[in-house]
Amino acid sequence: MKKIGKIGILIFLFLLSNIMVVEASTNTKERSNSDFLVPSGIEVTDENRNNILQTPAVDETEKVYDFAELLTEEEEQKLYEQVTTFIDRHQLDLAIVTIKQNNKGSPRIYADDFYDYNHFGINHTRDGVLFLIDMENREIYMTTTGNAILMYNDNRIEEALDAVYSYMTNQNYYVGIHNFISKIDYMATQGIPSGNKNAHLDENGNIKYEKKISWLLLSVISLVITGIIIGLLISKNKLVRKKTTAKEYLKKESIKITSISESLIGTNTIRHKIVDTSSGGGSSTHSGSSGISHGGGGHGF
Amino acid sequence: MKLESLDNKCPACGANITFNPKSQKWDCKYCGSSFSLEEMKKHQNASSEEVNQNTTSSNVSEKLDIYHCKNCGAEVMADEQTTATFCLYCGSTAILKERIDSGRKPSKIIPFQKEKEDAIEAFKGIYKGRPLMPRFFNNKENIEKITGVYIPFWSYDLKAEGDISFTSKDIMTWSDSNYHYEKTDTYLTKKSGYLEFEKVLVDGSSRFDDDLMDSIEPFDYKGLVDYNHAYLSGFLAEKYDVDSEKAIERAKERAMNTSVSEIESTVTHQTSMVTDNHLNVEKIKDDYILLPVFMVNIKYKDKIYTFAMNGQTGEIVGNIPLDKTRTVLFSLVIFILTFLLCLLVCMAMGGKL
Repeated sequence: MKKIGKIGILIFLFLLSNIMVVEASTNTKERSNSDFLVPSGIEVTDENRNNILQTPAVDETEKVYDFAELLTEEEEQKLYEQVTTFIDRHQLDLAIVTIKQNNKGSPRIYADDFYDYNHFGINHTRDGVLFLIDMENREIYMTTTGNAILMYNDNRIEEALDAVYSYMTNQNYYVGIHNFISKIDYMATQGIPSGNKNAHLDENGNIKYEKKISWLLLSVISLVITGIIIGLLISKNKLVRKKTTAKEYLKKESIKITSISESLIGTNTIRHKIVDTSSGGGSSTHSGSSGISHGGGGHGF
Repeated sequence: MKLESLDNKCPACGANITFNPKSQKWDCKYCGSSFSLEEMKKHQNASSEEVNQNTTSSNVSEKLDIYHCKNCGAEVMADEQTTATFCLYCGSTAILKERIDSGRKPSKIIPFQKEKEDAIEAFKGIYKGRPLMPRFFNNKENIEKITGVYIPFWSYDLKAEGDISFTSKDIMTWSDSNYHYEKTDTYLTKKSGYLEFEKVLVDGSSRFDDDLMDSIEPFDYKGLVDYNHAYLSGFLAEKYDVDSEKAIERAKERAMNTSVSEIESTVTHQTSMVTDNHLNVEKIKDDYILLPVFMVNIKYKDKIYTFAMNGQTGEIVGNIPLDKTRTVLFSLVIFILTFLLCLLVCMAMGGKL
């Protein structure tokens, strides 16, 4: 019995170690012309049919899709936990995708399609983030949807990608993804950036910048305009002006002006560091074949 | 002391005759005759020499003098600088010859080209575009008091000559991806200039505000004719009480400012500043001239406001008081209107309250 137990433990350990080393495979479902397996909001048209069929259909609860097999099972598991924590905390969906080949050509289209044609996103605005490592184009790409567009403006996206791309260059994929999630998690705790404070999403999930009328500004502008008009009217009552010039009496033909000398007595160059004033800016958006608006950005590695 | 007054008599009927700005002739209101300057001269009416001989040596040091009206014999008072006035009793013109002849005589004159009626009309229209002006300010009673006065002016021909140095700068800016650059080249530029000015005017009477008199410039010198006292009939006239030597400073200052800016405009750099000015403004000649001005004093809230109208061009100058209630009311209305307008524009642009 003891021997069997020992062997049993060894076999168990062996299996366990095997599981840990063996790279996980990702399950995909088959899309067909009879069942496109797309979320209910997506309308299949002639334009996007091919895009849909070329997009792998996945189980949206897995969250980590390591098609390029860059992660171990254990790493995937840890990332999965990190991802679910993020989702619970911020009410934003998060998917991590790695690919060896990109059948869509561009990382942006791949990332957008993967998100749109699978059941990702929270709420009807499909709030969430997808992080793609495209090994063919050697580019990392982050796409945002719904409220995630508001949360991650262009500057934040750039900052997050800048912070992690070098890990990919060094093939430190797990650490890179881990740091990426930490980074966007930290950003989400900071709240919506100032540039997007007046922005909201319309019913189609498109970002709209709201122009809020400031009563104070309005009053100040009106006051200034009133001041200018009254000042003009008052100046109309002042018709006495002391003359300090005699231009109208100058005999133009008498003028003789000659240059005697001119010398350069000094030259001086100063320089100011250009201060980046773009922080706190807004989010730029685009939409792909699905018609859903996304924010996003990429970085080579 | 008693002064002889001088009248222009109608060569036809002998009544008092006055200058008519409209026809630029002398019209007799009694017999309807009209005379040109040549005709007046022919009848020895406008020749000053003859009368000059008849007058006793004059002493004009006293502040107030009395003269006898040639028409009705009444005694009329005139102060030191008055050279032409009216008899308060019969309204006939009196030109005080001794006054004109003491000191310098005017060499030129621009006769009135606007009549009193033109001036009254012009003042009536002054409220146009001036909503903050007290409404009764230009009422009939006030502007009826308007009078045409020949005001003594000094006119100077000046020349400015000399060297002047400027510190001038050219600033170039450019940027690369990290820095913004600003390069300043400083030059020392020395220029020499000669400029002439013709007939720069300075008010020769201390009784009128210099700034007010500056403001009615310019006059059209095409209207300038040789002085003849016949032009004074029908108007008031003043004699200078500021010497040419004193008044010239104001003209020199103006000529200097213009000379500096003219020379400065030939400096080919972006900015320039005068560092060393050796320009000298000198008099070429001066002239004593009489220029036509309609004057009116209007009292508003215990303050006197003096207005003048160029008797040649019709230009009105003077500081118009502000009506406080109208100003406050207007400001309020404008503020509310602009506020509503701004609000509408903001809302039209998609702003939300």
